[in-house]
Amino acid sequence: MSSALEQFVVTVRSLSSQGSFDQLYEYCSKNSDVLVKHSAHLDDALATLDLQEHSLGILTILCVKMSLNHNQAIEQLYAQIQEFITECNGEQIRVAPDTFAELCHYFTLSLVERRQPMRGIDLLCKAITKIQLSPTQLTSIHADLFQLCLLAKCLKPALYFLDMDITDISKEGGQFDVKYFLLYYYYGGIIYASLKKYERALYFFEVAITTPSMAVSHIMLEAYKKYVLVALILYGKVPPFPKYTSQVVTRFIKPLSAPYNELVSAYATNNPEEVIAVINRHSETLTRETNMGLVKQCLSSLHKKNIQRLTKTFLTLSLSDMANRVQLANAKEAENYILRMIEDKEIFASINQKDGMVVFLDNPEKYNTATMFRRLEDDMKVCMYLEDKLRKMDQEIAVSAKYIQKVRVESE
Amino acid sequence: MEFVKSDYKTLATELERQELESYGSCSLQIYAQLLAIYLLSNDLPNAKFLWKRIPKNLKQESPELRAIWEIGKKLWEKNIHAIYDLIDGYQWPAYLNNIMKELREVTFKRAINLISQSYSYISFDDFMNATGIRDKNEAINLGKSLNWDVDENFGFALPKKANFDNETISSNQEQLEKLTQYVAFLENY
Repeated sequence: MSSALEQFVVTVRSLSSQGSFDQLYEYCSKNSDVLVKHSAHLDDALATLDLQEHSLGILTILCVKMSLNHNQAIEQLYAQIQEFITECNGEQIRVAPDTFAELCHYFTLSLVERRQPMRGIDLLCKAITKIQLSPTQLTSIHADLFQLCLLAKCLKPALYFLDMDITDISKEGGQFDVKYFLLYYYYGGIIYASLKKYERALYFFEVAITTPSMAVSHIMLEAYKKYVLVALILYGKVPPFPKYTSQVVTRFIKPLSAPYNELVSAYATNNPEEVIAVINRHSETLTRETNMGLVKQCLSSLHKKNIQRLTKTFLTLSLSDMANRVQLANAKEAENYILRMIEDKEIFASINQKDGMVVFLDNPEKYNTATMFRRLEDDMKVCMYLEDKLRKMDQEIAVSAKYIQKVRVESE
Repeated sequence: MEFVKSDYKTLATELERQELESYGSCSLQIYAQLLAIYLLSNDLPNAKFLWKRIPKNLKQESPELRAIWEIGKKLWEKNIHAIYDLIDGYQWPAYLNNIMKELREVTFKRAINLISQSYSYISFDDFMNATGIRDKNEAINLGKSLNWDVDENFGFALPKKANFDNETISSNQEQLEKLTQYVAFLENY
């Protein structure tokens, strides 16, 4: 081992034993170039450090090793990272959340390049829980995990983190790259949409496109396209941008996604043929942008919306008449659509096969059941929690030095 | 309505963990069981993604995996009728036998539930298709046991559906506690 590297190890050991981790963190981030220079001997240095006692030092070395990306012995490096993330001292690494996140980013990138996304999922779940200060804290590792989940087509592990409402963002080295914030909501939206949880998906895409910005990022643009499609599937129309959307977004995003706007206007005519025409005209773009699956569901949702509209005009309708009105092939297909919609509680109806008629009914929900009461209670609990959170954040701002200074300057 | 026993959910969680820890190259048995349980819980999106991520060679080598997914496809298409034949027509290995039995049972219950929600008149043929019952007399008996009227020439006439609500309200003590919380919250505001 060269003397410079030895010096590094000695400093890590002594600062760790004194428990001055902030100082050690500073030392490590300043000296990573020393490690780069002696990259051949890093494993020797690793061997002299203890996982629990010198977590910060090991983290720095692993991060350097990963960034150099020598493809030989990558399996060994993976094993080291695995061991480190599972065994390291949480208290120490929380001093250096930015280095820890960087290690995870490198690890993710490497797995993606080697097409082995599945093997990172479990480890990144552990990494996130380890570095988080609270379960509702967002880290930049979230986006990595979701990317791996999507690539591996294994979405369930992501849900554990997605279903948690974010109330706090980890300050990784004083700044949190907006890319990871947008990716969290973009990937999250895709995951929810793939699992057909459209309301949650729409919310995620909405957060992505309403994030304050000075320019339209590619992530926002793609999020907007999916936002439009999910809104069509859910509501049959696209709600206007919320007031707090950045100006650049409202101005530039629409011209950049022309095929999707055409789809919206075709959808508004309620005529399936027009929608099909638009889909056919742009099928190449839609497929290339991997939105074809959602587009197809828009079409089937149009049929459903048309059936729902019929319930407003008619009390009883023959199945064949209905098939005609919503342009379905025959009475049998209409019956199948109704069955599915009843199963999903999208309409309330009763089919009479003897006369070939369908009777539309009112929503049988009388809002007087125990289930409904429980739902109300749960919603109130969420609201109360939110109120509490808001008040705390408000207080934090009110006493923050930066805020007070700004307010004082402005009033003068 | 929930038809699936909770021990299958525990088993599913366990299998998911095993799959993750094997980095996506676990045994055929784990994949097959997990796929079947997803179908059982009517969790079709997750079943589809699982099918997509099962390694290709495993899918080619294993007829039972393909047989399970055949059922999955029919569930997507809501082609309930075909499912009974697919389940009955295959010799399931021991580790799948119970799940498949359960799947048949659950599909049957779901079908009955959907029919009683959606129809005022249904023909014998469609009823037998949806429930997988092959004998007409058996079908009639089942309908009678559900208090449906039998119309010999056509099928069943179903009574108006009742609204099920089997959840009970929590105890008085608990209720009082919650109300106290609400009032305290409103007072503080």
